[in-house]
Amino acid sequence: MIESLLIGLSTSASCIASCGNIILSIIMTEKKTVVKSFLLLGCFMIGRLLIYSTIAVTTSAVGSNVSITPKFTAISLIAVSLLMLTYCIGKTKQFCLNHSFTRKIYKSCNGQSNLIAFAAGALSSINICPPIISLIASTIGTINIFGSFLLFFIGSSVFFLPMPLIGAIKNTGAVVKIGRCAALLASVIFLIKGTMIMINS
Amino acid sequence: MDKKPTYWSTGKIGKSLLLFMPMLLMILLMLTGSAKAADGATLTALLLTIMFFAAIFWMIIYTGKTDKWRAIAFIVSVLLFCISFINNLIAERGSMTFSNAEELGCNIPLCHIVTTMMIIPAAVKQTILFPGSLVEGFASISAMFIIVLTFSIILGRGFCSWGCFYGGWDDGASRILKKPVIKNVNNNCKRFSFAMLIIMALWSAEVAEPTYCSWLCPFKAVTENERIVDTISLIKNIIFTITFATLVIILPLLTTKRIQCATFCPMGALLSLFNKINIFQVKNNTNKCIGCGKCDKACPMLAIEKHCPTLTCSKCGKCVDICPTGSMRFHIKGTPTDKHATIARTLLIYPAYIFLVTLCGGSVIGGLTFIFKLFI
Repeated sequence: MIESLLIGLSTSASCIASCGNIILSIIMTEKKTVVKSFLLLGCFMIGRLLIYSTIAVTTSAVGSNVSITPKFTAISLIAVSLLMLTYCIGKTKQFCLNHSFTRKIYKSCNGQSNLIAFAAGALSSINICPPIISLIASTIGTINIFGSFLLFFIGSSVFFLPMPLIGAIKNTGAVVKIGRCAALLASVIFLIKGTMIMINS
Repeated sequence: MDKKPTYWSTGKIGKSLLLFMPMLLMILLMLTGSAKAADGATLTALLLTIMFFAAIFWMIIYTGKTDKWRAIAFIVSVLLFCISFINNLIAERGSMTFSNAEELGCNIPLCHIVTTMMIIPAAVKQTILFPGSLVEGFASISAMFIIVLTFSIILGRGFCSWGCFYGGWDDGASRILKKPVIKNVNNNCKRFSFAMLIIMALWSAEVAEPTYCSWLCPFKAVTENERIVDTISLIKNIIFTITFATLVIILPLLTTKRIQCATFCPMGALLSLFNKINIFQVKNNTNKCIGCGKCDKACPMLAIEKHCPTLTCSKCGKCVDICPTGSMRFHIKGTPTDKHATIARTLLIYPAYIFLVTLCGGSVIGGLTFIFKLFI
């Protein structure tokens, strides 16, 4: 059990590097307090938890490695990219209110931040990354799968915890604008990643 | 309208000499170290470099104009740095491009911009994300890191206008036209550099590669770049050329703003954060300000909002020079805004100029020597 926690802790650096830009840009784009930013992070984590637990349960049921095909990963990455792009556009009021289509996106995005964070967390977790591989390896053959799995998840989430503190920064207007730019950049990077995996597969 | 105040030494030869002499000694001390066993061309270049830096500093002190003379020193230093740097690369490896062998042998000189991408991997993975030497050779990781860190703590984002050996490119391009073709550049564009910092730092940590340098850096076009051996390296080189042409030449030319430095450079964003902790700043004395808006329009870094310099100020002094009432001035945190203008300016200019001479002096000598040898 403790081994799962240690594996989670050791791979959390990879998690923050690959998925940190998504949740950080979502938190920054929302003009919210630290407590509400923690709520957003919570939604993102629940999304990750859902996918990780699905993989863990399937692994234990099948009893061997569950392979995530590259094409599936590529689709999920492109979906994250589109989600982030929509979110970024949806948060830019001035741009949105000029067009009927983007106005709809604006209306649907505002008030749905928690859902977007959840979806981003889930989609970005469908990935062949070190934490997933470690998760599969650590849960195979263990008796208390859920315990091991939960400890692994807690360990791999440690580095995300300071992120909501960005809500404490005074100049929220500037932070929100930086967040939008970051969301745009993150969406472009995920689109490139997804497309490259798709082409190579 | 209040009359613009002058500095203690402005227009006065004796007082200017008092402020100038210590700097002349510093310049001599710093530059003559490279003159051991030098040939005629190098000695001529050394003499010219000393005269050049001394003359520029004299003009800064005597005329009271900071930005105009700083820009001349900065732009000339940067252009000669590139000539010297490329010449060094060609002398060492026969080409300004690098191959896999140079990467594997850790023979790539460190550029300060890459430090933004080294922080997260160094902190959480104890990994140095750069194929350079840690202590040995030209621009080693430790030497560059110490220089940049020291400069950042002392001057904050002043590095972008006084020390960065790339900044002179777009500073120069932004000064070619007197009036901008594209007016009213949105000040919010500067936020993009902070987003670049966040995303590039995280992306680099994920792929274990300095992604900005590998894929986007405009200055790869004028320093060193990857040898074209396959489609990927070709695409990278095309991107470097496009970003250099648009962000460093065309857009600064059309907007008269330093677009690359103000909106795209992740290092600039990191240095802005250092502005919070260092003691030097440019401040507007709102009691004297008449709200003419000249500073807002003139600032090449998009750093002035509602007549007040913000976190991204690079202390170039353009707003200070252009302000008709003298309300905009160099300032030391914790001192009264309307007093000690000369002390604040001198205390800022001295370390800034010493850093410029330290960082670029050798390259200016190298560049001039190369030019002399080319023609003689």
